[in-house]
Amino acid sequence: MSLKKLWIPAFLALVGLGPAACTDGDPPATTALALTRPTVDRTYLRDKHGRYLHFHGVNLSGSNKVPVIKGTGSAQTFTYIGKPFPMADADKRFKELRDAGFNVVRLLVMWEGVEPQKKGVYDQAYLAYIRDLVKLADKYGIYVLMDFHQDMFSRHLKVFFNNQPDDVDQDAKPGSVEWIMLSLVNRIGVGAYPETVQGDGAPKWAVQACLQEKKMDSKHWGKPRLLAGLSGDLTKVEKMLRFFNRLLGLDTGGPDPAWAQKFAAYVGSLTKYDVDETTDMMPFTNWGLAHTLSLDVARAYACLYAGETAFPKLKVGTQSVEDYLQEAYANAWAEVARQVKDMPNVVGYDIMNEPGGNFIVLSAVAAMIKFGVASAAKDLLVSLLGKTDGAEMYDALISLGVLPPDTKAATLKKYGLGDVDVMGVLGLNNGFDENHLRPFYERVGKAILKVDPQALIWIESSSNVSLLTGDGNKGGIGGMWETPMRHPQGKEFVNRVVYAPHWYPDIYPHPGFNVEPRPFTTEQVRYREKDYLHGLQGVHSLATYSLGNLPVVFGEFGTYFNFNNKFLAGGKLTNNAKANAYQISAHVLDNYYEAFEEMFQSRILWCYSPENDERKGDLWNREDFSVLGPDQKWRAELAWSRPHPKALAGKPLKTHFYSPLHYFDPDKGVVNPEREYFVKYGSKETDAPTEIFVPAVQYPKGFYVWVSDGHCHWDATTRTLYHYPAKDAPGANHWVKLLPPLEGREATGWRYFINGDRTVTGR
Amino acid sequence: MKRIIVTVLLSLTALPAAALAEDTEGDRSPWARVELRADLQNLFIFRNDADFDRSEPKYNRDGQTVGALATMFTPRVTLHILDSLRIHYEVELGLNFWSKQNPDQQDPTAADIFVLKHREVYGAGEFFDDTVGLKVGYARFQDPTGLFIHHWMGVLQTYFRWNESWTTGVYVGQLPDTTYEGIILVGDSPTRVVTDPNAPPAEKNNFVRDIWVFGADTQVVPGDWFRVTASLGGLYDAHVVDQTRWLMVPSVRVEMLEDSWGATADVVLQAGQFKGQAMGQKDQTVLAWAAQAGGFMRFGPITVRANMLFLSPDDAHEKNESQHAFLSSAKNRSATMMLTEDEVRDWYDNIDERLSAYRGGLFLNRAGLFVGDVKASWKVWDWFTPALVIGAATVLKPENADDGVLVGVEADAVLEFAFSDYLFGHVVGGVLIPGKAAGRLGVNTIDRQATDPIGMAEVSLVLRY
Repeated sequence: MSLKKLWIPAFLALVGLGPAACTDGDPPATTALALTRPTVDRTYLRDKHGRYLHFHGVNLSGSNKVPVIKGTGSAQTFTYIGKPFPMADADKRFKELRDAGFNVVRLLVMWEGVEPQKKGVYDQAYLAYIRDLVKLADKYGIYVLMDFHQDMFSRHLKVFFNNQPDDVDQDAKPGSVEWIMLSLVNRIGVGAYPETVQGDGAPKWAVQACLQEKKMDSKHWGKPRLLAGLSGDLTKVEKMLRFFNRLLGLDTGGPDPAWAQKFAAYVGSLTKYDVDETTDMMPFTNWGLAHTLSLDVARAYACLYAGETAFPKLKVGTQSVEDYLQEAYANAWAEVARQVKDMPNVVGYDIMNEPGGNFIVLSAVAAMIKFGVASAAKDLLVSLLGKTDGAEMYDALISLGVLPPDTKAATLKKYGLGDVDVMGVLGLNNGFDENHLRPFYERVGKAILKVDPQALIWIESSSNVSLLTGDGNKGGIGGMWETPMRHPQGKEFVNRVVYAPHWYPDIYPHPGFNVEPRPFTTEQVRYREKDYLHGLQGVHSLATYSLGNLPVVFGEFGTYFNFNNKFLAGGKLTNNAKANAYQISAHVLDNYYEAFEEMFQSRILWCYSPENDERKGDLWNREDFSVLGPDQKWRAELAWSRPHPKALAGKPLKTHFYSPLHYFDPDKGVVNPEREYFVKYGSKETDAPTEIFVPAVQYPKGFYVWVSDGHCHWDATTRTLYHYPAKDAPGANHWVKLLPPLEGREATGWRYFINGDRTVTGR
Repeated sequence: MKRIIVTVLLSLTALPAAALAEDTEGDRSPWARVELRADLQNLFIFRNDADFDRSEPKYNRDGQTVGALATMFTPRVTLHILDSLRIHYEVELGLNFWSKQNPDQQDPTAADIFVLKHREVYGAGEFFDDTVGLKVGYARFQDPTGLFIHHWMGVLQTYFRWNESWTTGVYVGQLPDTTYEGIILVGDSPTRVVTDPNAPPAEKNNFVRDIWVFGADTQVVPGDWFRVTASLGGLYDAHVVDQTRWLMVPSVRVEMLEDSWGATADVVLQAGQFKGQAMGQKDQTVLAWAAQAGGFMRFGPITVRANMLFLSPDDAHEKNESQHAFLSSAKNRSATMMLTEDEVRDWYDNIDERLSAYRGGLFLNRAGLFVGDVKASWKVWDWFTPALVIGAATVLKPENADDGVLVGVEADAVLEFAFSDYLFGHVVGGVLIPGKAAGRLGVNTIDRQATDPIGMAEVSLVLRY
């Protein structure tokens, strides 16, 4: 064979090697790095790969506050297993959360679920359920913050109300005084109240330990004590309405005399029950108001945090009520810690949600007792709240029957005030967090650390009187006697504490008492991100002000999704929020996130509730915060589903994302950088990559990636962009920028274009 | 002076003293020692767009059309020190645009000053009766196929001629990169004097972050009609910390040339490793290839040329532990003028490069590439040859081009004029109908889905000295 004939097969043989080298490979074997217990480093949380953690999380969930009730009457049982969702759905739910970009969940664990019937007896099935949830979250790369949740102490502190007054009186007009008053009346003919305002958290036995005079098994438990107190007394009704008018910004006018007569007759016909057969709570679905105005709630909190100060003679057996409850609480936490102490994705233990430190009513009572006259309460309220607010609140408390009518020993005993230490109670109003909450955190924190030495202890400040007086979280009254909470003391807590404040703007639409919802407009909340920034920075400031410059993660923030909804006669609902595509909620959330991004701040949104219901919201006090709607579809996704880093190889420096809800101020001839994401971080301190979540909803047609240096990898399954920076010189900052294709805007110099599972490598 | 130059050059190249002694006795007529050549090219080009997207950026109301008149002057001087020893220097004054470059500009850093590029400066010689050859300096260097490296670079090349038909050589060179390393010179910059206490010691800083090309090649020429060139090359690229790339690159070119036909076949394989570039900073194993086959046939005054080019794609999983895309800084033999490099004048806007990633002086296209083209030319008169070029390009892995397949189809009409050996010109008209792939791979800057065609006209007039 000649050479001329040889070259062709030789060439083909060589070319044949090529396709063999071009068989399809496997996807990268390694995806996300394993989650590890975070550590505190200055004001940062870092993982064991050396990265700075950034949390974009969600609370799981609002409906955990309400147990699953089985049976009726005396055969009734309850369990928190299945809250937030049954284990059978857990895979699907965690996948949904991961796909939505949440990298941490604040898991609501209920004290009543852990220790439901008796002190020291724990529900092992519930503990196992919690353990299984945490373990499964790890499979999906989701961190878990364990949160002992409570609001208004316990669900056993409750009041029924009627949200369908037309069942009682067809002539009552919505918004009228009559309409409001009918919230106290049960459904005639049905014999039941359709709704409840209640707390959550503590088990019944713990409530009984605080309110020992209460007959909690009474058939009247939960009926409005206010109703019995009214007794057709129109003067009291008028005073109460005046208070409501001011508190809620209403102008309802006075009651129709004829109707008042009818109402008085109806009240007179009711079966009488005594003050110790129910609670003094009122049907404010705005539970902050219900909390503030309830003596029973205040007494329960005082017993838990400061029983030896406020009620030194109140014992359970031989133990002070404070020691009895705190011992139980700490041990219950230890039981939970025992379940999850080996799990790498547990970021910490949020010892108590929004601890109550509001003792206004209790202080008023203490003043009455001290001076033996009711007017002393008025004087105290005026000194605490100012002349107008204080006087009107006093009138309302008297009208509502919250304050005891006199200071006789028998009366005080009936109201559970026989053992009150007057000066001790008055002292609670100053420096409560430092004097009582911090020692509580230390006791419980030590119990947790004993079981789980790697634990991080997350703390919050209390909801106290300073919130009403506008002084943020620094404690004291108007800053006059500042006694702010300090970092928990003791070597156990060095580099072990995280501050987890909550912040909500003034967005409560449903005050309660059948008061018409407050109207909101989109314009009212649009483009307020700078306003939110100041509020969030104010709350954040406690971390540097007195807590010792520790890491801060906002544990809660959020918005309602039922703005402007109308409940019509017959219980029909007009879902205006949905019809408006939840625009108001979306703008509120976008404002939050832009403020958080300005601060490069980790945050955990309230909330994700698979049980969300169109009428009952998150099943608790008409709260409707869930980003997952009743139709199991996301709500306001464009606001909260945004690119964010999960972990950074260097110190976080700067970030922003301009969702379509952002206020753009265009420069001439420049296309708005809609959906631009930017993150900048310091010189890499680890070889582990920066991880950035990129949501599909923001980039349906894909996105360009620009990087400062190094290279990226895209994991389409978890929608995570891994950035491996190259430069490691001091001061060599790194950045990543994303933009979708935008009409009229050039995209040049990009490193990658990513669309679904396709990656195009650019120049 | 000449002796100084010769001494310096030879000391650099470390030639045996015997070689010098032998050759310095040759003929040294001074006029025969200077060879001067030059091209002056004046150009006109017009395209209706720079990409396939008619969207107009709001800040560019004049649209995206591209057109220019430009001049380029390329003098080349060769100083023949001896018959077998020379210094070569090539400079390129241009490409200078009539509408931009200002001959009055005084500021050497101004954007409108004349563009001047030093292309080649090297010394070369043949010794021991042409048994040994050496070339060192900045030069246009290519591997046997030109598909891997075809680049101006600092390089040292030697060869040994076994007999008249067989030579073997070795080479080593550095590609320019963004990481400056080397001796810190006094006065290099105000902040980088040797007295600067923060300046790194130069002796610890050399050759750490560089891109090296090296290898050995051999050429066998059994007859006038047949030639085989093979190389075992290598690339070592450490210009990025912790992401060193190394490749072994065997390549073969087979050329056959007869009066009425000719054929060329190229095959290049790449095997090696990209360190730290897979997920989890694992290493990527590289196995890639390129192939090219082409030829021509003459039928009287008509010549038909055809060429096929393949560059292997990566698999669909970027950053896995396998990397199959071909890495190159190269020049292929396609006759297309927009899909690939325009041989009339390289405008640096050929689609095959624009859709590739550019890292450390090398292009890489994870979607792979196929370019096939045919050029038919008809020599009507000695001075006039019209030609038609038809070409098409596709990617080989659509998943890596966001599911685009066709890069484009190009048709060009070329009129070639050769008025004399010193004056010739080109008139070109062409159209490129793009497919989805090119726009999606980054050619389009606004609407990446657009596939609007590009029309092109080009005129070139060359004066050659």
